[in-house]
Amino acid sequence: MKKLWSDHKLLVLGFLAALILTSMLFVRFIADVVYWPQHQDQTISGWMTVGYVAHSYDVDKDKLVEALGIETNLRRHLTLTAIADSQDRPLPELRNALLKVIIDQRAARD
Amino acid sequence: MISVQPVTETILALVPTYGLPFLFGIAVLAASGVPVSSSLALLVTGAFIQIGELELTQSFLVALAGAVIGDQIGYQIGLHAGNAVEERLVRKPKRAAQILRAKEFIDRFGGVGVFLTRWLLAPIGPITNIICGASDMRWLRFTIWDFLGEVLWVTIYIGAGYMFSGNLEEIATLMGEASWLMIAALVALGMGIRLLVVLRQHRNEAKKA
Repeated sequence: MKKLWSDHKLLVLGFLAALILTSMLFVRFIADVVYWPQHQDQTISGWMTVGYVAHSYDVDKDKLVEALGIETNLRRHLTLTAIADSQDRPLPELRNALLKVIIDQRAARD
Repeated sequence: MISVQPVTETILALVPTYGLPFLFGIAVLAASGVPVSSSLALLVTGAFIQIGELELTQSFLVALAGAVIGDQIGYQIGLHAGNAVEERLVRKPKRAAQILRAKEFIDRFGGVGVFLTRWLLAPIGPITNIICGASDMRWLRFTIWDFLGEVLWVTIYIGAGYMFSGNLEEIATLMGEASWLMIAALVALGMGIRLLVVLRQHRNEAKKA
């Protein structure tokens, strides 16, 4: 063992480092897998399209389109950021409008 | 992590905004070594296929074509840069022996290596392209293994995006973590095996003495 250490310091250290790194990554991965199911509803973000929000929250897309006051055939896959820009209003306002429709629809279903 | 967030958001937004041309572009760039996340773009694509805003066959072919072209760029960079570097290094006998050993290694495991670094160990794919080019791996061999690996990569990531379309950001994080975990584990395994070999050599020498 002593000879191994004196002749191959770099290899031994490298192996230990790789082992520690692997364990850390493993723990993080498992922690994230366990944590995952608690986050069913994704926060509504600027990159999402109306279609994506409708799918993610399992609500009717047309209702969302209606609530935002966009013309259905104007452009197909606008992101929320793009919609907010074109309507000259802040994204949080758009998000609240969507959330209101989502809550109403879910309440109506229950 | 905070500094990564805007980049992630941007990629997420660019997929629905520019669709297939963006997918093609990011696949080419990522495969040829530019540090942008094409895996993330593919996950988003899968999600948008699920909700009917992108088409499956088109997206699949576009991403595959982009990735294969990007890999070819990396291979060519390696091929040309590698020859220039090698000419200098070979002048020293010790270096020449090291290069020969590296080439033998790639000759033996290169095909499978290319295949696995397309999907299972995707983060080290771009550097593998350059190494394969630099070590004069046969072009056809590289291309066939590359193509097969990329088919799997596109399938897995679009599939995951499709299945977990409601939780994109989470699945992207998990898959990224999983690839790095795999790479770290393989490095640890490789070094562990090397240590065992060295240990056995020492024992044998001790016995003889």
